Amino acid sequence: MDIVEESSYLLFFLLFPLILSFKPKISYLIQALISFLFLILSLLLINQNFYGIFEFKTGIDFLTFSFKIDKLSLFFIGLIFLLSIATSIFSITYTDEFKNRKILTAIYNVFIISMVFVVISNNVLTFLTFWELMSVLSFFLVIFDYKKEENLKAGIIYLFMTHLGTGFILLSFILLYLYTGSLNFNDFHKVFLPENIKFLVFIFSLIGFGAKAGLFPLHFWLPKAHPVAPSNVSALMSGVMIKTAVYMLIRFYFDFLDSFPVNYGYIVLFIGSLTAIYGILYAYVQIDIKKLLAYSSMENIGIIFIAMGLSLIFKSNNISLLLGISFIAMLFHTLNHTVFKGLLFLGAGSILYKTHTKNMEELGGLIKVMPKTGLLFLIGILGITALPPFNGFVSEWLIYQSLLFGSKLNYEFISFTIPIFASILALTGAFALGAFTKLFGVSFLGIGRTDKVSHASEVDKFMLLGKSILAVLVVILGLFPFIPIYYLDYVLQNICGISIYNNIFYSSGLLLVAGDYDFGRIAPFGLAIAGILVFLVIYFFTRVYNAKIREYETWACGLDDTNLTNKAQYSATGFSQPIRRILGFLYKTKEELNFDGKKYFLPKKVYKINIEDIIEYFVSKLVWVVIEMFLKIRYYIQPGIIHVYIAYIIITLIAFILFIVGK
Amino acid sequence: MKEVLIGFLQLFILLAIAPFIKTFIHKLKCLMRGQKGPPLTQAYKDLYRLFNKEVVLSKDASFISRIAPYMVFVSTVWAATFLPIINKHTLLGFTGDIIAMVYILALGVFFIALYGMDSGSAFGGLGSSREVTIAALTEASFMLVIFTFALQTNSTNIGEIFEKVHEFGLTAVPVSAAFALIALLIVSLAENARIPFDNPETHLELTMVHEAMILEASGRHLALFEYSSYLKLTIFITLASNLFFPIGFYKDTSILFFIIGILVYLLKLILFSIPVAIIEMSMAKFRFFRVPEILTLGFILSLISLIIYHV
Amino acid sequence: MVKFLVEFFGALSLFIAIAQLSSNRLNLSIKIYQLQSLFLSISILFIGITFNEFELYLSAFLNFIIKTILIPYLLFKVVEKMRLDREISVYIGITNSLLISILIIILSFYISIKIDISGEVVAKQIFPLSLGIILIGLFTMIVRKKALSQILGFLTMENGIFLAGSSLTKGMPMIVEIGIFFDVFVGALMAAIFVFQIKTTIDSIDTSKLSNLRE
Repeated sequence: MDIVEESSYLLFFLLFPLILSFKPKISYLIQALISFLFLILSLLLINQNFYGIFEFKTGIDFLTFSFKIDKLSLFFIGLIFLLSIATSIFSITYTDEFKNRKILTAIYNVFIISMVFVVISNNVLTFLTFWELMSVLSFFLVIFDYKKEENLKAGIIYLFMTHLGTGFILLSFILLYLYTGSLNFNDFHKVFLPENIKFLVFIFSLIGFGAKAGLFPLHFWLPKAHPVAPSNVSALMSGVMIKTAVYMLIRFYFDFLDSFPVNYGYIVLFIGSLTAIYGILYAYVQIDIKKLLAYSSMENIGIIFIAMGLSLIFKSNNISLLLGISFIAMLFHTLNHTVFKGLLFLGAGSILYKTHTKNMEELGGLIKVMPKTGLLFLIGILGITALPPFNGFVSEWLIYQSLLFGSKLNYEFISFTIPIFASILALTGAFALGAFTKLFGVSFLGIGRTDKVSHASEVDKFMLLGKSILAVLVVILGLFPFIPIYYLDYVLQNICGISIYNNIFYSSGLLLVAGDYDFGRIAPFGLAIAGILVFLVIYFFTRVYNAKIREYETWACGLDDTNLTNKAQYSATGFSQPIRRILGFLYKTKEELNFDGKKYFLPKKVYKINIEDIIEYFVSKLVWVVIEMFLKIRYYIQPGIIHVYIAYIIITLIAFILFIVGK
Repeated sequence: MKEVLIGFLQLFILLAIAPFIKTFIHKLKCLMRGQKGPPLTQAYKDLYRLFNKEVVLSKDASFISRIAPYMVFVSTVWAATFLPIINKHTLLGFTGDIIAMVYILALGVFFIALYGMDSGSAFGGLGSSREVTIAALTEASFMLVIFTFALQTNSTNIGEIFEKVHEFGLTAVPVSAAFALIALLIVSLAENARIPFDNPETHLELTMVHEAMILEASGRHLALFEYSSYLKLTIFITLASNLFFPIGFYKDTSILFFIIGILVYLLKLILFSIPVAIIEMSMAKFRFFRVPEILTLGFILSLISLIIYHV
Repeated sequence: MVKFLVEFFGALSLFIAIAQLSSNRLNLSIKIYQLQSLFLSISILFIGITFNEFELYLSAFLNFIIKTILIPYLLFKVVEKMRLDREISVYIGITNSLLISILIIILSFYISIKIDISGEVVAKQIFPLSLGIILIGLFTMIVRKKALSQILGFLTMENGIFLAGSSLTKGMPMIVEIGIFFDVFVGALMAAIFVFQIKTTIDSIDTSKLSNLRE
């Protein structure tokens, strides 16, 4: 125990970068180094028999800061530091252009610290302290560029939503406290609750953390807040901050609540699949790169929740093998999403840094001016669209397998409806392919649409290095999925008390789902080798045979070079038009066509399209109706006529007199 | 060793037969229209000629244009190495299952769409946008058709699915099979850019989808694109014929059975390509916004087939 | 094997009922109906083969004659005579109504597991299939505006009832069956005449415009 407590002082290392914040570059460098150290440390500890609790007592009686490090927190600590390495290296030069970069650096460092402490806190007060710290800091980061009104609006919506969530979290903690009489997480372990109270805890925690994670229909702050933050912070927010909500939900459902009926898992599955399909359908129509990525974060959170719902269903049924598979799929997808979403946000940051725009309609042809960024971005896209043999594929494959098992369950209703969820997952994957084809095709390929592109150049080595780390991970996690699964199996052992590594892994290094359910197998490494071999054979065969290549202008229906302007290219708006039209009922679209100057003779037309989130639209309407109602009531109470106020005084007087007389 | 040989043989058969199937459908269409039609070796000649020509690349193109044709072809060949046609032992059967195959085909779609957008022409973007839209709607149905069989046979490995389907037949689940058959028909026509979703024989129509993306391609790049589209069609027909006409998939690996197996397979291919030709001859191409409606129909049929397989 | 064929063609008729929802032309709808009746007759023929009853053979034959030839001929005639606008007008778009139809099908299969069908049944799957056809026929009548499409919806529904009847009861008594055929035929005939009347009165067969007659 002593060693644990001693080693906990290692966490004070985290303060170094914070203290150095007045020298941003050094601070980021130190942050990256320390993150690397901690990543290694958490990897080393995760397969040891390590379990640490340590407490810091304060002068106030009930305020004891208590921390616990178990396998699950170690995994999430590793996740935070993994992304922190990349973003910190990236930030060294990325933050050059910001005005108050010292403040940015300081907030950035505290933000990382707060996230780490959220995942290791072990009582309610500690947790709420750091949770709030994390929320407030991220709010500051969202409105960092506070001069833009858009950012302020997004920040305020974010602040409101995150506190709504905290309110529900508080409610569920209060319920737990009422039945245990303790605020310590250890006492919540497998707590006995009456059935309806258990359901309330379940729903409150789902709403509370769902608001943070961006679950449908509490998501609409996410695509507003994530894009406006500085890109290194967007990467952290999308990559790990919303995962802390996933972490807490795992704590709640796998640690605190013990046995629950199967419909709990079904609710999570249902909401998860709605989130996934909704997120990707909105990502498809965005023209802002970072907004697209934010909606895609929502989609991936949905996929993570699909896996979580499945594992809850299997948990209620005590099918340990399947529980293991879906649990590992959930954590694996969490890891994967952190990696490729971090990479893509950093890529978007590089574009923003060089071109000062994140609007796809103003980009195009970036791959010629930023070839390395383009390649890294392409790798990220291959990961996020779950194309083999990259990492997204493996985790989605595991989720598909668990879904297929799910429909073999003995519940009529579930086995009837699980195919629908399978179809939603398949649709999500297909739409993600479209959305990211659009993202890459419009912003990186073709001809530059504005001058902003021609003035751009390749980013420097720090920014490239930050992205390369993640890009390498995308490939490695995809090719050797058994490495992360080996580590995740320890988390599984710790949380659920089962181990499935030997069941889904066999000697020749392949991934296999075996046992009673003989289902499928993949071996991404073999796949990749075969693919590369085929590629080389074909490439050399055709090149040796005939290698002539002539460059010529693009064919433009017989028009010459001067006629082929960038206006002839397909735009991002045009690219998503078919889906916008087919699924028109989903989008709240506002189209406008303005004629500048003369109307009939060669008018200059300006087309504007604005796609609003339909849930946001309804919510704002609803809020408006409620406010109006309140105002009306207020209007009757406080009409502004002096006689009414005198009447109030008299009524109050009479009431007091009656009260005293009556006593 | 024998298994590797069998795997190579199956891949070779697929690669060799693919251009023939394409020409066969074309010829059949021509005969039904009362035309003479090309000789059955036409596709081979086309490919040979294209491989010999030089490549003309747009000066606005990036390295994507240089690798995309190879990536598309590789992804299709990759998918072909999974697909057992007469025997369970495929070359790469151990590295992936049918879900992997669907995603590998999606890799091809991804790169061909990028190729369309690379040179900055208006047609390319148009084609990519439509292709991606169609792919988004078909891929899910394709996946669901596959799941129907995966659940029936308790496996997602293609070899085992085919083996069990051949062993038990489809008589146990007729309703599910009927829906899956029609859904797979719709999916195959849409994925392979056939009429009524797209016309493979046209250039420079504003309605084209697949051809619009590869409009800039020439020489060996075009040859690779063409070859992979032939191969993809053959893959789909093979899949359909082995799932819905489960005859002639032999466990036995003796030479005689092998030859019979190959002959039966060829017959099945021809049998299943006749409906494609008949549909192409008797229908007009849909306008683009009619296509999603039909694809939704396919999606719903596949979903029904998946839901009711165990009722 | 016969059971397989019965169910297979039953499933195809359900498919056709769903395809009916996706048609956008009146002519196409009628052709689709024709095809459905054909599949239905084949399915009933196979039921007949299982039970080996003359009545079922006869009803398959009558079904073929009346529903595949006579009624479609009549409806084609109506469309041709009145030079109807061949576009179909709908309350709910095609894509959405297809998505709703999936819920209907799930519902009908879910109901059919709950109901325990006892006795000698030729093919268990036929009941949910015919239930699906009936409900989708009703749904067609709800979403389509034109009178002719509503007639087609009604006929689709009738096909479903007929399929359920002949599979569950080993064929209804001869007199009932012939009565039903006669009813359907006369019903279709009368509906066609009504369409004529509506067309001449309000110059359209869009039933949503019938409420204009209120005054």
